Amino acid sequence: MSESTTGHEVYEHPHVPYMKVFFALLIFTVIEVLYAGFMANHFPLLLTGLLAMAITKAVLVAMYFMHVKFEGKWVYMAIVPALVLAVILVTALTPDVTFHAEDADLIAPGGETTRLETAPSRIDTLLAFATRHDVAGSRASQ
Amino acid sequence: MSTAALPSGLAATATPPPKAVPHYAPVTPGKVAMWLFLATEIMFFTGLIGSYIVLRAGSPALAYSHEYAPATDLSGVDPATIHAFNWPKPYDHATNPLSIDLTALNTFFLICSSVTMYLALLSAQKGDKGKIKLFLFATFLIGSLFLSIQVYEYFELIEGRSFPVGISATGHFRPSVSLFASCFFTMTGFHGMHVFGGVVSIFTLFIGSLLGKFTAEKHAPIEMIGLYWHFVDLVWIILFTIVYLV
Repeated sequence: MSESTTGHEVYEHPHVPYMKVFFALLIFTVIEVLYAGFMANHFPLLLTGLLAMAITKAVLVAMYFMHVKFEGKWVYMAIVPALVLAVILVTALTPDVTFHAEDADLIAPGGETTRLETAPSRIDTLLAFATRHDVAGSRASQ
Repeated sequence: MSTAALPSGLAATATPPPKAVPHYAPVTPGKVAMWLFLATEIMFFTGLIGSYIVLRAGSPALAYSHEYAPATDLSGVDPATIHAFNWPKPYDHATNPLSIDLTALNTFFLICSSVTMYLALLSAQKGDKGKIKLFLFATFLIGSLFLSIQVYEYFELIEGRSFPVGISATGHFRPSVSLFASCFFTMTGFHGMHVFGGVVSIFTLFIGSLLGKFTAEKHAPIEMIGLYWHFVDLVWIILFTIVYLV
């Protein structure tokens, strides 16, 4: 096993099972392609299955090829804040996905609703929100 | 003074005890800087992917259909009479022009290049100059192959092939024809530019290896560019999944 020196310390480079990682990445890629073909019409299963495999592959690359597994904890100080901010960014954008101004306009002042056939999922979400917070009732009482 | 000439007690005092082998890899300023740069890259690609999620999830339910071009106003059309989705599905050739098989092969090449890049670093750590050159050149070639296939894919989409109306009103898949097209070209284009930067950097390393610049003690540039290259591979793994397969 090779060694390199920094100052007075001697560090032994870890053995990385790179061929195992390579074959794991290869197998996951083949499974992903086949899975996408079988599950193309089942979006929730397609999304969760493929994301799970993609994240597994990404973790393998980071841990072994990028040596995260063999670095000190300092490396997480660079990665974790960026990942947390990444999650916050996507989460903060979610209201833009769920609620739209044109949907809100579909609730009439008297509490009557108009169903937009082209976007049923968002309308259902909005109606559920309105029911929980008694939006229609409060408007009717004004 | 030779320790052999000293009494055994003094020799033991003069020779420091061997230090324990560090458990973690040594931390160098260059490595910290590269990881901080990669953290900014995480944020950059998160911005792109986050925008993609918002645009895709906010896309109208009838945005893409077998019968009409994207962005056609279908408010007067009965949804039961058409095959429509809010986003093109994988393998649906009437709305999705992307070749999953070709890109899966390209993904395989990029994974191979990560292995050769790792082997170049391993050779550098062992001081094997011949293998450093070999694996750096192999990584350069495979990275170039990835880019070549991407350029071919772009050419086929933009100019080379004619697609049905559900993909494009003009028959060509260009950034302006639909939201799907603009998202695709933006994300894969920025990733392609990162690959190009990596290929140029690896070629520079290869020239350095020809000049004998890297030894077992001095090979930090290979480690730094290697980190970047593996990150580019990691990003592609995510992009391939969410752009082509989902």
